[in-house]
Amino acid sequence: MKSLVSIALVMGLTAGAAYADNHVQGETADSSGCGVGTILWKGQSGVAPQILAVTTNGTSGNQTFGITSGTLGCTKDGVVSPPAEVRMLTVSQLDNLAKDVARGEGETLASFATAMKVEQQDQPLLFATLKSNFTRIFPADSVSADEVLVSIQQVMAEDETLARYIEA
Amino acid sequence: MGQKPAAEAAGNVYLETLIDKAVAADLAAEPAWHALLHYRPDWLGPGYHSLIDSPGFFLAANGKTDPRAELEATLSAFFQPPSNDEQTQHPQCAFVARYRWLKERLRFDRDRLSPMPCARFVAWSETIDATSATLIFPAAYMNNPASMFGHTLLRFDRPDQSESTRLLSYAVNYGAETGEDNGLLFAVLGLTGGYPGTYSVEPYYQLVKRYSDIENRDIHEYQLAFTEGEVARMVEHLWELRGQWSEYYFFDENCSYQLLFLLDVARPSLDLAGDFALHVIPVDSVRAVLEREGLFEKAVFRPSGQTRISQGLIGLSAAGRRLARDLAEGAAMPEDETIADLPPARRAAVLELAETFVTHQMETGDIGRDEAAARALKLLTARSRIEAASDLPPIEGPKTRPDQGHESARAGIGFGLRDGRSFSSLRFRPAYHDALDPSGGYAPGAAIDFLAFELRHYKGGDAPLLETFTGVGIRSMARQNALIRPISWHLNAGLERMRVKGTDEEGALVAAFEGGAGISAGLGRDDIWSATLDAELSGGEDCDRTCSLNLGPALSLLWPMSDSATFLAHGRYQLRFGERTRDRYQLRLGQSLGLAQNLALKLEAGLEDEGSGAEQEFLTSLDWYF
Repeated sequence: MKSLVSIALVMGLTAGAAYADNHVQGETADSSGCGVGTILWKGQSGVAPQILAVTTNGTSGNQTFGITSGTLGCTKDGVVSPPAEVRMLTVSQLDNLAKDVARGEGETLASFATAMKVEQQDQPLLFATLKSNFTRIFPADSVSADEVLVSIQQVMAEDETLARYIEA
Repeated sequence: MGQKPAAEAAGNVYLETLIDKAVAADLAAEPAWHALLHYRPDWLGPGYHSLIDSPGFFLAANGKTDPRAELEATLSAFFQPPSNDEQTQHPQCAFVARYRWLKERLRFDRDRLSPMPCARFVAWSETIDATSATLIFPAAYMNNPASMFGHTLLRFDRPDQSESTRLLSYAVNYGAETGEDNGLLFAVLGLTGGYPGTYSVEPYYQLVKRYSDIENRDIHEYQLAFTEGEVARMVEHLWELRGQWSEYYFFDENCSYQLLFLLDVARPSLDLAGDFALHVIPVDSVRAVLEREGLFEKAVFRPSGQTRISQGLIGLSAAGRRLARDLAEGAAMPEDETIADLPPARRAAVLELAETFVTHQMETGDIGRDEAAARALKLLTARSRIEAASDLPPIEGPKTRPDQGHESARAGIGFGLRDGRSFSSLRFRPAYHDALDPSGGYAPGAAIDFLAFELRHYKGGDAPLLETFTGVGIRSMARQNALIRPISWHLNAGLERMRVKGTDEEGALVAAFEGGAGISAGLGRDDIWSATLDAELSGGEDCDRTCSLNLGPALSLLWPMSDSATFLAHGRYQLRFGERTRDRYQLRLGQSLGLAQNLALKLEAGLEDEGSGAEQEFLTSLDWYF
């Protein structure tokens, strides 16, 4: 069974699903990580392990939707824990991110870069690099947000300047 | 938590000292305390009541109605020993804004009242990371009356943010939890406070997606000049409001009103919640906030998907529009010669517009997700292969922002002639906007009237007569273009005067319920031509001549020549099915001229025959908005 969430699904449905507990009410303190995968990478810092942590779970059956849509403990008291920000943004804004990557500019892309902690002076390079690798990052309309994140990482790792944001 | 009986704290001398100090300073009567507890004066009598309805918000059993008892119970609760249970917050943390205010005003002695660590609150507020605040106004969107008044949110912005990374901010929304109720139940419960209203916080990109991409509402952002400390007070107060609720009233304690308490907590001297006129319409509260001395910093416009499409089309030639449509519908491929031959910047523009339209169609449910995703990916892949940027001009906001439009209530006096008889006219309408009102700041072609009436006094007549009364009237004339094809429609319920053969010259007062639907198109930038098919049920005095079902076509032209001057022409012919009724027609011309933001001159002329022969009418009026 293909367990990846298609881009179409992510494009529309996750807008509502991603924040099942976004209301500032009722919830108790939740110190768990963001998906089971996080635990595998516990103790490692940087964006890459955080993203790979998801990927570890990317194909583990029925949990995929929960992880991809970011509902597994990504939020605490209604806000997203900072390390999860990149993924939450990607999952929720996958269609807008694809638009911006294709154009090489835009606020979803700028926000993505900021959440990835890419410094201002390197952002034009990031935008151009992602744009020229569009077909690698978005190879099919069934691509999942997690797959997109992994491809972006790989593309960045191949670039001398951008690699440091991955290895951090 | 709950109330701490005074007896239990009897041994606590320091608590008594603090209470004495608070009483001496009359802290419970201060605007800051009233803002923190959402207290409002009672309608009758000298007392107060809080607008929050959940008991957990109060520490005193009678806290909802007694500011002083609540203050004393709050002080008492701050002395509670820490709980062993990590899930339970200490009152100093659960009510962190009250704690900070009382600590500052009463100068708590750390040695006699130990400060508790508030790890959950600290982690939460560090994630929000707010240093400035922005009032967010998603404007009305076409074809949905519920949205026509707009909505307000409050966004918390981060330090070192640029306009292109605001998506990462958090925003707070106050809304009713309405569930899945149907239209009528929704309306009844909404008007009577049957839904709980709660505050929620979520990333701004989620809200932009909902309002801008899915609901197609343009968003106006108003950056406010609150200090970092004032913004911190708002965040602290928001923490206190987690899990609390109020009965939600559409026309009173609604989304925009309850948000004002956050601003009042930040700066109690604003007293926005005390401004009664703000209770009803979101844009009025936006105006009130911006009018406060030194509060407004900067406005930013965020176009909806629909606006991006409509404005993009204006920048293209007819051939370009056709290509964009064919690409969006899958009738043309990016590799086709017609596309490939375009200059790169234009090709980029056409591909981007086509893709925006595909996602727009998916959001509106016109095409399936699988189909949309496949098409969008094809278009984006082709777009990514073009170096150049789109050659379409950037999208501009409206010349007049919503806050700069005329105010919501209207009163007018006028003089006119009907069939040679002169009359004076008095018009009043508490809300909101009709086709002839100055269009600046309002959605083009959208009109909504509530409880509007006109009284007329004819020369030589006895007493003023009710000429028309509109309970509710809604009109949405949305232009169709090469890509977007909305339906235009209108509804009206009220009373009108019908001049039928056999009635006296004042005519018969009849109740009429009317509706119609059709299409609208435009030739230039702003003109809206509409054709609709209308149906009306009418009946009242002189029933055999007035009770009927009326059916027929209507044509109109609405031309906002500028933000302050509008021309309107409207004509209709109706077949009437009733006992002794005759078919009728009506032609009306109107011209408005804005003299100031809140003053407009109107000239109207009409020709109609409702069964007693053709009659002419002229009316000049001066309308004041307030």
